[in-house]
Amino acid sequence: MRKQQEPDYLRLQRELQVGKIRPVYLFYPEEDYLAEQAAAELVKKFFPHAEAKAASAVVDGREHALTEVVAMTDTVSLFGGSRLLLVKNAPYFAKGQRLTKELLQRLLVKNHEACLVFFAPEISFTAKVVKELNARGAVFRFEPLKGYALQNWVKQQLAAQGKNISGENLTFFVERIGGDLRNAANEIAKLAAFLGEKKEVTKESIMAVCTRTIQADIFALVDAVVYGRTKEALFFLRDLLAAGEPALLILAMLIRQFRLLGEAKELLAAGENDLAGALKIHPYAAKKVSAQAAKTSMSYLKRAVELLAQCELDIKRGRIEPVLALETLIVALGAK
Amino acid sequence: MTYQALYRQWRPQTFAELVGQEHVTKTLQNALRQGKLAHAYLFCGSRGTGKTSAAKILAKAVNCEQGESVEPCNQCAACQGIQAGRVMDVLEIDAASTRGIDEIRDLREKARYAPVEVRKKVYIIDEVHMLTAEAFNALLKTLEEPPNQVLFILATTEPHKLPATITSRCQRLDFRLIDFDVIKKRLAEVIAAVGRACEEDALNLIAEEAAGSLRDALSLLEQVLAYAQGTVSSEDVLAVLGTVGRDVFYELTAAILNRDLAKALLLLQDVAVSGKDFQHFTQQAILYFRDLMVVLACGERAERLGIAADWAPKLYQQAQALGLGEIGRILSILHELLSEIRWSNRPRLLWELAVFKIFAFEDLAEPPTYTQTAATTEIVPEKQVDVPQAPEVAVPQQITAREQLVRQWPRILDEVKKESIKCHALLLSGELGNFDGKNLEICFEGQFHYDMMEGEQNKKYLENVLERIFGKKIRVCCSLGSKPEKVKNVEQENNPEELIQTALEIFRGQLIDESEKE
Repeated sequence: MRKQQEPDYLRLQRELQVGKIRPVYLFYPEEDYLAEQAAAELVKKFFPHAEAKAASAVVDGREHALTEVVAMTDTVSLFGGSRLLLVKNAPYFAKGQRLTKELLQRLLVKNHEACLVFFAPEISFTAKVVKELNARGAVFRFEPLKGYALQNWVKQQLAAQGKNISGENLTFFVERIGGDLRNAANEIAKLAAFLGEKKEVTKESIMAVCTRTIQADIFALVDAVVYGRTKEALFFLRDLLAAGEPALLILAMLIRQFRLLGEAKELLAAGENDLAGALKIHPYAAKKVSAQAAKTSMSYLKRAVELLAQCELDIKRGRIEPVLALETLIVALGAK
Repeated sequence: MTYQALYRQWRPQTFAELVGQEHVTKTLQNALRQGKLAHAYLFCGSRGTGKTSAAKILAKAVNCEQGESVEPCNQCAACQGIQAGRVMDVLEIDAASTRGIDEIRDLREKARYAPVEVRKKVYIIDEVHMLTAEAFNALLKTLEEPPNQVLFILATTEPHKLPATITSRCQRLDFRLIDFDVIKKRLAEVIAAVGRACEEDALNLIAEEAAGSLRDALSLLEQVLAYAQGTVSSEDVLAVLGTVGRDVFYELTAAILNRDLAKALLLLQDVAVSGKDFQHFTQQAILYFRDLMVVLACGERAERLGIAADWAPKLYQQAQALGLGEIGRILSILHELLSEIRWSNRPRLLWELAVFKIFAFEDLAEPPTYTQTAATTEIVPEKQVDVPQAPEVAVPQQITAREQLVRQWPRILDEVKKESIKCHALLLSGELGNFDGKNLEICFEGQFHYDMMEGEQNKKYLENVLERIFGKKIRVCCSLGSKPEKVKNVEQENNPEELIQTALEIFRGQLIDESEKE
């Protein structure tokens, strides 16, 4: 596996661990949860005593000019000591924004008493100020985490709660909770609470408490159907319906999945290597789809498509009650 | 004291009493123990699975005067006050009726003040998916930066209707449908506590009808207790539900399997006499055959799919005897019946016709062995039509060998395709001619196709497949020239012209030629 470049959130953690605090940070929060988490860690490092938290302030960058913001850090804090300022929605680094030389100078050569953190939803990497800051390593890009990086993050979060997880269970867990970090953090907290005193995360505990994303569930459903585990498929269907998912949505997802399967089969037969790119899906999803494709025959897929189409027609014409139609469909798909 | 409905009397007061949701109670109790409660919870699950009960218990547990503990004491003023809804810091809001932005703004304002009577302010927002979009946004602001000392508990039956921004700010706990056995156990407890007795079958029926909702189960039990004298029997439950028992369908299916048309008709007679609603009866019949299907797919252990344990083996036996194909056929007949029966004032007649339809396929020259699926049954040659083999059974309809073949044709094509794609392509361009059970004629329009099919190899492919499917030798011969009836490979409705025609009728539209509109 190719060595991944260290994500910026880890770089910041490392810096903080050795006690390095920069006068200016420029956060590019594509994944806002990571940025928020990083800012929280920064605040904690800056004010080791929790009561000093009052010295940090949050302002909205849309309401203040940059000059004002910089001036704010120069004013002496009411509580004495140094000052930390978080600037949300900072518009100063977007395309077309110009900074005066003087301002640029003040940003780059700031006193070390204060700390400025900008959250910039838009950043033009060609702007001079961004280039300068980037050269100093002060730009932190919080990208959405995927694959290995995501697993790593989850593992770290679990460890922070004092929980261990095996590689296999980690994959299972991540697959189940999806890539939205805020949501993932909730699931991790929930899992930790469920485990209580126990240290090791087991597959059973994940199954017991973790909410699945509908995508993950549909995947599991199709998996069960394709591999002929009809009973399991019916359980999944029942869970999905019990969770309040509309029958037609489930059907639509099934149709999409089987279409992907067909496409994947054709592409693989044609010798396509980059399935994820060709189908524009997540590499992990591509891996699963190709495994499923290997298990199915073209004639089965054709029959499946006909069954799916017929099922949709039947539901939409009001001929069959949707839930029963889905059950019938799954049983029929399961019978090879 | 005024009378309280059973489900209110038996509403759980502690986490231990909250049955069937151990994963939820464990999570909450551990969080309480370790002081790691989230600031907002989202409880999701079907009705009657314990969401509101859990919310109340949690509100009590965090505010109990005995100190924050894993179970509320239910004795102190705080617990009792919350239970009775007297504590003003614990607010239960029904979002279905209080759904506007003004109410949520009000809530935001007040959430900032410290609690007065107890330690923590708790907002329980029931049916939270009913909030308006603006109200959600207002709520989101509060959830993003929650004041300390405030706990939000959102409850909903339809989590997918919540904006993702809301769900991602809450710790989501999913309440499961309560297992059949758990419901049964709880029902038995309640019955014992009220000093009544109940047959096992009756309990099974109630638990089945409840389909995972304990509240439904208790409501139904209450009705049944009021209706029945002394020990509650399954007849009492059926009478309250206004339905027939599963045994009726069991017997009906047995009659189908034994090809006992008279028996089936008698069963219908009974239903009519007892004054049951045929439409409901049809729905139940559909559910019964659905159960057969599920049992066949899942094996005998299917309790989790809502089938009582003592019925599963019986159902499994019948399901195996019928086979998946036959169950599917009966289901589609019943569905058709259901849509017709709504508009008919002779439901019984329609049912009888449906039974004839179901029997038609079963009525064969030789008694079938029941492990066969529909696909492998014997064919009745045409000439035997006039001389029914089993005169004691009324023969409503006889299937000719050709119809049989037409029905099987798509499958035959499929099989041929596996052997030879070329042969399959040839057959697609041909049409089915005469068939008497022994000789099959295939007609071609073009000389080329005729010649190809007459070739030894291609004929052999088809003959092999026919022999496999019908279990006997069938000779194939080809002829030139077109025949009137075209074999339809797919269902009629997939024919585009017919689809358009149907669409025109439904929408009362007219065809417009796009090319003319330049």
